[in-house]
Amino acid sequence: MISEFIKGLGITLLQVIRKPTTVNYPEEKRPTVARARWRHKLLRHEDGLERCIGCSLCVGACPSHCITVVAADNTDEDRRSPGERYAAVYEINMLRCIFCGYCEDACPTGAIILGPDFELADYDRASFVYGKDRLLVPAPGEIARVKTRF
Amino acid sequence: MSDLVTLTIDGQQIQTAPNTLLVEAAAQLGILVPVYCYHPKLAPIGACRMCLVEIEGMPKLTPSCTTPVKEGMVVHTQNARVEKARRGMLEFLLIHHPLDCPVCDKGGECPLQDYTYEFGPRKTRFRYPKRHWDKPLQIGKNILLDRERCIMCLRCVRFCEEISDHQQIGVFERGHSQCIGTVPGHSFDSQFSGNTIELCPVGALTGAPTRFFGRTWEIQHTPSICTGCAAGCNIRIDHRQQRDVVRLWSRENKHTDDGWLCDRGRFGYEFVNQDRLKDFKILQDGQLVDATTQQATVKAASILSKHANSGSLGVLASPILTNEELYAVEWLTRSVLQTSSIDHTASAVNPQAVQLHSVVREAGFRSGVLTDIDEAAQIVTIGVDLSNDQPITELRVKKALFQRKAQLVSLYPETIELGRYTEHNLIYEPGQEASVVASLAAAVRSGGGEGVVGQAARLLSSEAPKAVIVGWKLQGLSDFSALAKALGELASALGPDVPCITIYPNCNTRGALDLGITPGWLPGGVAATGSSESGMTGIQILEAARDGRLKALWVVGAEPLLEADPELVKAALANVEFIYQGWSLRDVPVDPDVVLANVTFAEQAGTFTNTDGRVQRIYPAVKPHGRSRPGWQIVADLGRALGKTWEATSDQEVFEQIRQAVPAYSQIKWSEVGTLGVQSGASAPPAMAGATG
Amino acid sequence: MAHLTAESRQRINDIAARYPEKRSALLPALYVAQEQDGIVTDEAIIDIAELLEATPAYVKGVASFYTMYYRYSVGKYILQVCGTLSCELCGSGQLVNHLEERLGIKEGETTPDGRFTFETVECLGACGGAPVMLLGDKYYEKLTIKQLDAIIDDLRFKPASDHPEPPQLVPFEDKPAGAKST
Repeated sequence: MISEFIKGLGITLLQVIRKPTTVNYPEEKRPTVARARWRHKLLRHEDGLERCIGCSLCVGACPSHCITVVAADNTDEDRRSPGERYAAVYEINMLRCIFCGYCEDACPTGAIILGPDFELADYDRASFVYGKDRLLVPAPGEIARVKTRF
Repeated sequence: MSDLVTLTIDGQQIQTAPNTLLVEAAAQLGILVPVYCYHPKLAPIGACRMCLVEIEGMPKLTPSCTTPVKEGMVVHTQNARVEKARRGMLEFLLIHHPLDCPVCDKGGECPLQDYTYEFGPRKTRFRYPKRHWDKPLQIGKNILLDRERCIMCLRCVRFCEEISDHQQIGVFERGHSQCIGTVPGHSFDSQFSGNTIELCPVGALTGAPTRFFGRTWEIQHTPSICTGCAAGCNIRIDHRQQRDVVRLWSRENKHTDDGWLCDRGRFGYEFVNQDRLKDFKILQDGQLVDATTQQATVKAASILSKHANSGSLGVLASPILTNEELYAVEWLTRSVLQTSSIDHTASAVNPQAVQLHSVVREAGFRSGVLTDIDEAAQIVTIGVDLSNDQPITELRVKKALFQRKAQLVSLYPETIELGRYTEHNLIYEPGQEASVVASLAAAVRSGGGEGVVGQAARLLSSEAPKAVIVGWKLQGLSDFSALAKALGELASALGPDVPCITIYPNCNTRGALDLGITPGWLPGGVAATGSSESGMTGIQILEAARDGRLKALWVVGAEPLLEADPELVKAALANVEFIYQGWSLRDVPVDPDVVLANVTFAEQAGTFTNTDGRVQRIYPAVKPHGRSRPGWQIVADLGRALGKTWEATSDQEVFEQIRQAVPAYSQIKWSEVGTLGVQSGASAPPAMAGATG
Repeated sequence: MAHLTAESRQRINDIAARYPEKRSALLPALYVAQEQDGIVTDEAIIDIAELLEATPAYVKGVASFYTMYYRYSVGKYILQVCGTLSCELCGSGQLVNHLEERLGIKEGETTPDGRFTFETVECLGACGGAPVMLLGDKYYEKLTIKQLDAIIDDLRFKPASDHPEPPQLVPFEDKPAGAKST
């Protein structure tokens, strides 16, 4: 009986001298896996044009119906993406999103990818609906107008 | 049954009528033969070669869309040879077809996508650069053309040639560079241009106003009725998540639209989305401020009760409200407020001519329905320019003229578009209607005569089945009794049982007349007696308001205000206590004292009665904007505030009340109205059974 | 180079009078327009549509379908070499190559001086004399490169007014006396 007691205490003592598995989270961050699927980004082409063409295929693929796309016409004066069409509105409701990555699969232009940024906590519900201002990566040379956490 | 043809398709025997096309016979068996150029309403052409089938005994594959059935034919639509041909055809069609599907408005409902998925090759062997054109090209006010996507099925060109006869688009060049286009300076502005968007089996023709409306898998469809004119065309409202109406699409009903929709109806839905009233409002210190439903209702009720029974209240109700709303307004006005000044229009209408459909019946015509045009060999239009007044009915007349070589006699003060197809254009001075009709009647009776009238009369004195179409513009005549008499003479000259179709201006004018939204007539077309006889007409109401003889106005829907002189409307509304119930303040020139937010047709259930008396249902497609409500509910609240209870609590119950009040509707069962409507007019119940569905 | 002249309109109306439906006169009417300007212009298409009670789109469709109506400027002399089977077998390909080399233009193009347009066409219906070239309304059969050179030299170095047979494109009616096409 006493031996079991010592055995158990031994395991406890072992943990005390062992290097801790937890990290000091906000100050210290654990690396995410290479293919982690968290916060979405809308990418740009090298020339700065948006990759997204507003085709809504991600909306069709999304199992939790958390994406809204409203498309509009590119004009020569105001060209956002190559071709005829761009997404005037692109919203993802992060509360509904299940981070399955189907949108990334469906995207014909490779515009949307899910990245490693998992820190999505916020203070009110409305701010979980991410618009283009937060999803779109800044154009080359452009200083992001809105504070983003890329 | 001996006149049927028996043939075998894919091992299944079918008996079908002679001259049925193979593709139709296959469809009767439920066998899908892919088609692009074939369309049931267009003449077969065999342009796309998608429908090739094998017929035993024929050396080559045969296009099934141009081949009629024959006795003993053995047809294969699914063997290896046919499938190879289909694959080959699709590979050809896709050679120049751009990979635009993600940005194409047709994507998701595109037969080229569907058939490629089902029958097509998995990959292309074409290694050369694709042909490129400028795109999109705006070829008309409402139409965008993408020539790269076009597969040259020619449906659009054939529609413009065979159906609308507005040949503003054509096929240019040949071979590899063949394309659809317009001539510079002559754009595709036909008022039926929108139909080509529906006909186009790819995304080559798309709607400019509905460009990028959303993807087809995101939109929901709700059956409804177009509010553009009185034809009552069946439409499908396409909307996103019950929020915005993004597109209107035609919905075939052979009694009203025959499968087409005009551009005015198709693209005239902005009022559902824009400038909408979201809240009830009241006027405070010269400012309209949002109010609760109750505050506004109480204030409106207090204004109404102040002027009830005293003859100082006028009511104008729009003829694009549903029957249910109109009936509620009529109930409150006549039964609760004891007011007889109620009208649906502010244009000048001769009191004798209000019930135009009854007038022509009394003249000796049969109450016509639109489908009577399909039977007629001779069509007489009196005082109506169908291309403006009811475009879809113009297409129906054109169908009679082109496909059945019917003949037309047109009586109108100007040259009308249909006049191109007839030598019998009786153009008269405005005001001469009665004498022209009378002289035509006299000439028909005498079997001919001098000039154009004589020629028309010689035509009409033959035995052929006839149809007469009269327009609402005749209602404005000051000497209407002379015209009524002349119509009577014409009816007796043309012979018995000639149908006469009355064309009304707005989508529910006929309903407003049936429900007594007109002074002097109670629901059911009963002439009012006693005190309610003396009501003012719309224009008199506005004039009386301007002159201070009326103290309050209740306007439901702004359409009547648009018909009168804007200065008069402004002066009238500024001079009275003004209650406005509607969906937008855009057309209201003066701030009302109370604003009651009504929904539009897209947000509520109800019925409309079209120009020939067909009662058709609408269904709620989108959610009401803000706190707006169906009109009959607002009226019921007003009634309650005035101490009278409106019995009905659902649209069906309101309709039941209408059935009891209006004899013409008494035979209509709510459950039978369905999506295609039921003909009203219970005077001949056995005929109704045939008219349903 | 624009709208139809009064004379052309008159001729088109005369032709249209021969048919029960005015629209039937479309092909000869287009030839009249082509004779006037050398090509069928958009303005002429609109004028013809008005004269023949058709729509401009319909007329343009017809005018652009048939290859013998020119919608874009062509040279003074149009050399049409048959490229269909019989002629091809008898060496029309060599004629084409030679013409390209000699004139310095590709098939379907016009020389910079505006004198020659050269194109290959489908069967001219004279397989017995293959290879065939059509110049104006004259057939040159069993054509050799040497003969071809002679024809070109003839056309190139002679002033246009001396040439005995200018190409004429009025197949449907006799030429009105005195009228001379270019």
